[in-house]
Amino acid sequence: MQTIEELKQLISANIDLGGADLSGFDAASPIFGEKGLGLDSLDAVELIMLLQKKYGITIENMQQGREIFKDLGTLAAYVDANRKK
Amino acid sequence: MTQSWTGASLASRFKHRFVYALIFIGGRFLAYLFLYPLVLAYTLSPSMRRKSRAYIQRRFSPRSAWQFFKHAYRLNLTFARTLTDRAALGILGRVDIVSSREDRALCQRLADEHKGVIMLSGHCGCWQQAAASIHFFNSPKYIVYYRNPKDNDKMVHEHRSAKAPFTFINPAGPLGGVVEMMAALRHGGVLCAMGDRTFGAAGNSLRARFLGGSVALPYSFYRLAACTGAPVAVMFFPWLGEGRFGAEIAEVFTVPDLGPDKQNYAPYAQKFADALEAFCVKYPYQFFNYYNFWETN
Repeated sequence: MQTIEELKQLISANIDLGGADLSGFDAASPIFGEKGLGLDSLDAVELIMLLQKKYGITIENMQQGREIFKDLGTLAAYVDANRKK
Repeated sequence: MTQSWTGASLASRFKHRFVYALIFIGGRFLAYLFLYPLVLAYTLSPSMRRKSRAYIQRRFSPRSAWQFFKHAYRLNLTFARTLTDRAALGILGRVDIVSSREDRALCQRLADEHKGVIMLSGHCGCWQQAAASIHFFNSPKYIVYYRNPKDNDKMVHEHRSAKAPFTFINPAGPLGGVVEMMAALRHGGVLCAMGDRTFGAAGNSLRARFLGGSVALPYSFYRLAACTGAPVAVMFFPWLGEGRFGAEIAEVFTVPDLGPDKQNYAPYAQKFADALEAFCVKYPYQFFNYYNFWETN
């Protein structure tokens, strides 16, 4: 739960969400696409770099990326399990 | 959407196979002979002339229908020759690549920095052969490539049923392929992409000046360069005559991290547009974007 809040803060502080408020989003909220946080492929570049800089996490392929970026919960779980910082 | 290109081949699968057969039987020369009437027939087609009209008007300002026709014919003939040479490379395995010692050394220096390299080219000259043939980058190569199901041109390795000498990254894939692109650069790879083709939503493009008008160019490669620190090498591959093409570095630059506002990266897209314009001035019949590149929508 704490990591989800941390990720929401990280995203809203570093990615242009067009003024959207992330407080209503939870673990089940998709990260990409209209139904969730609304991030697109260019935001993915920012997000991947943020994960690398803040947690030392690298994502090697789309197979892995698809599972990790499914929603906020899967991303938080991956961060918790793999963070180096 | 800013995407007004299709990626579909101009010629049918049968015509491609016929040219492949000619190359196999009589080599490149026999295939070239066949191109004269074939290209004439294509150029007589109004729909074909429409595809090249915007470029010819801007590049040559023809004063009569006849002048326009001559420019269209020369443009189409050069394109057909580059495609024939690509097939000949695959079938016969022969091509000469002309490059300067300085450019080769620069490529190697860039690769040796181990930050990856974003190699931007355009739909001009012999871009198709380039990825399969340049060996100065002693690093794994990745190609950002969307293949239209109606693309009938065989790639060089497909003529030999061989494994591709590079890895494809599909920009139509999940997240536009950015996960793979970033991984490729992180491993010091050379990411080859077309700097003159937008893909997807209008938000993914930047406007730049090109041949007196405004065109949409992709933005993502400049943001990728800024985020990863990978240098951008703008390279073009002019057709130099039968079975010969050049590999020329037009520009090398790094992109500082200027934040997520895409307009901050417009000067870098403009650098690409300027390099492409210089190419079109030097090689006027080698710009092969067969659609209205200047169309705004």
